[in-house]
Amino acid sequence: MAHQAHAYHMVDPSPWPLTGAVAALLMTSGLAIWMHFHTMTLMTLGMILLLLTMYQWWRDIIREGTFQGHHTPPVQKGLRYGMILFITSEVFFFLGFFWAFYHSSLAPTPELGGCWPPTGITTLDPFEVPLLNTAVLLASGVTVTWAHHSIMEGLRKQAIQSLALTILLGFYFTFLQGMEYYEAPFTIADGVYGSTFFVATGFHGLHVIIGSTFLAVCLLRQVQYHFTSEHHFGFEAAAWYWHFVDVVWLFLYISIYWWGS
Amino acid sequence: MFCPLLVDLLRQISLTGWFSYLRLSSRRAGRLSISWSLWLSYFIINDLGGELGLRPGVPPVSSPAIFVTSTKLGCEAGRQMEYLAAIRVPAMRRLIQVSDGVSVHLKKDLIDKLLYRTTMGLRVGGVVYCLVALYVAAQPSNK
Repeated sequence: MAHQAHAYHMVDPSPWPLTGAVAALLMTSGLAIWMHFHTMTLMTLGMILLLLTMYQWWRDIIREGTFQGHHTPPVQKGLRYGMILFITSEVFFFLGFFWAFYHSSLAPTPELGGCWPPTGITTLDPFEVPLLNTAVLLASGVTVTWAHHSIMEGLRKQAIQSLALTILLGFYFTFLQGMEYYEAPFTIADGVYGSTFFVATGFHGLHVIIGSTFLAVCLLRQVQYHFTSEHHFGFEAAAWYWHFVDVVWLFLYISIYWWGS
Repeated sequence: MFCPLLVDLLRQISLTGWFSYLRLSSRRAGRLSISWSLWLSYFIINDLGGELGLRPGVPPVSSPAIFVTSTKLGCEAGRQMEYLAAIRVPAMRRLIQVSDGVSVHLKKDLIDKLLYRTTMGLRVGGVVYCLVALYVAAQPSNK
């Protein structure tokens, strides 16, 4: 075993940061090549490399924490700080899109008709599918909290059921939002209304998919007995991320769907 | 993995709903419905009551730790019914904790090596392809 006189984790040399950086290079260059030369090979290669990197890097973290016991309380504290800082950076990411929306909607230009929503735009009724989406995400917030308490109390069956329900609700949201996108009477090309709407809600939808995937991995780990009632930070991080996604939706609903309609 | 879980959940919901219906209808229908509802209540309390804390006279307490991290797993596992998956954490620990100087990303020998070499191959090939593609894209067009 390791002979260290401290509680911190000196990580084994890992190739995954480099492969991740190369994946980012291939994806960005591939995006430019796709736009100019209509070939997706480079971008697809980058995406495959990104998936391989994510799988192996996080697999190694699970090995280090769950199987090698390196995630001592000080190490866990660092992981918590890391997740909080990451979510904070995501908040700033969305802040930019909300800035763009309010910049355009608080002082609509004459080209838009001097009004918001702009002339010619048929908005979505905020009390139909968007309201259902709000209820679905709020319910998923309840079920993920239920899952957390079940894990802390050692109730395995309830933890698995509530976590599965949370993931199902996430998929239901994604499905409903997909249907809304298909049926919407306006597109991303319909002026600044279309741009702000689809970019903000589109990135939110991507984050819902990421959050659902994170929770699905936690479900797999829960089934495999990785979590204990005292130590389950992977799940806590997923739950924090999910609550963040939920809060962003609430802001989107109130700003863009309700006030902006 | 999800099928028994969903079946279990649907079973709970349908049984609870059926029990509530029978309980309401027994007031009008008489003894037969009362006996049906009693049978169902016995079934629900005994089958599901353990985890819902409904067993008569027993306060809702959490079951002993099913999530195992200590070496006590061997004796405790016999008392716990494994739900949905076998407990493989101790075996994985023995495998991953072998002190052979191998980095954590190659601990499982064959499958790890295969994935690692595929990833490295894609990385090197991808960088070369990317540089060539960018060089070609940077050439001025003849239009």
